[in-house]
Amino acid sequence: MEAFPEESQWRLLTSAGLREDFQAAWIEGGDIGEIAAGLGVDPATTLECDLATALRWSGADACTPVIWMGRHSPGWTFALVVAGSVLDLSLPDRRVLDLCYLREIDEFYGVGGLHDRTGLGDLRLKDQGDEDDLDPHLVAVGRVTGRFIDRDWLAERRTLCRVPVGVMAS
Amino acid sequence: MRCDGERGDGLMTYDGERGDGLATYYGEQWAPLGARGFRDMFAGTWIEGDDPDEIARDLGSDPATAVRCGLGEAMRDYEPYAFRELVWLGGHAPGWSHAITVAGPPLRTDLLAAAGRRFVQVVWDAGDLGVHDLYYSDGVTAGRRSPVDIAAPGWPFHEYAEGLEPSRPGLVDVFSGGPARPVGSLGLWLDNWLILAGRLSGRFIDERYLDSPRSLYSIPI
Repeated sequence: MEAFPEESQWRLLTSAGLREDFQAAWIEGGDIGEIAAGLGVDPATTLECDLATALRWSGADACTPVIWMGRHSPGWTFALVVAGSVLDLSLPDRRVLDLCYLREIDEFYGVGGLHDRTGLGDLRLKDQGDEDDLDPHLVAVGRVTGRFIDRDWLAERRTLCRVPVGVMAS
Repeated sequence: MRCDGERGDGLMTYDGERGDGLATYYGEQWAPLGARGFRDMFAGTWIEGDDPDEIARDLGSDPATAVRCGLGEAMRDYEPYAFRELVWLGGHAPGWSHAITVAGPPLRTDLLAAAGRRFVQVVWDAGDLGVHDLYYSDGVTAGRRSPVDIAAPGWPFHEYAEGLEPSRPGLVDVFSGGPARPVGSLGLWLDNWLILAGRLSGRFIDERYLDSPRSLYSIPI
């Protein structure tokens, strides 16, 4: 695997339509059903779709968060908050790399502790910053998970689902 | 943060006359829609074209599966942001059709833009932003307009925004938690968009309009 992706990770995501807040997590494990259950997803109503379609739900009522989740790489599952206020995507007993960027105040919260890892020192990661700090973190996530975001990744279909309030496991 | 409020002057009329003979409706455009059950979410798309079936096809729907019905019957399926899509769509005024989203997210506008149709889309969303930007196309260029920029020149439908201002003297906004309500600035912005859509298409929303039968189209997502 190359140390850097071919294209800017954040530019790929913004050009795919992620132009507002960004909250996402890479969760260790390929057992998507179990991860979804751990996050409190309602399994009764889901929709398989690509990212552009998923983002049509970005105006949905924030009281019932909508997430888009599915396979990222072998052993890692990706989850994106499409609608809803800041949502806890951590799961006990699993490594979770979660990022959060709040557009309105231009504040970015990176993956805690990632800057200590070997093989990422050149990225000079800061736990907190602004929009410019997103790309180095996304590169770090790509190295840890073994896959960078690219056009194929953006075109893949994942599952749109709801997380009813009060069901979150953690 | 939500902004709720009361109009200080107690009036919901709009002054000023258009001199071009276009029918105008100086009143509250939102009231009849709110009364029909659209308080949580309303997504209306005014689309250039006289043939609703053809518009439905542009949106990926099979017109053969559409069901002719009144709004009341259509609203039995009302489910904002459902994981399926239903629109109540029909003729509106000469040259224009109107689509009201009954279930699912707001209608895709990229397909309408790609078909070269003029359109405007007005979205009210109590659980999120309240009043959305207006999505539009003049048939060539598609864009979006913030409700605070309605009166500024430099966009294709500026001529239909005459007399529509993003704020008024005496307008009081109170910020509180909970769902957005269509009052104060949000109420004004929503009515502004609905009036603009009415002027552009040549017909405003009224009870008679909402009582006409149209067709409920299912759009595969």
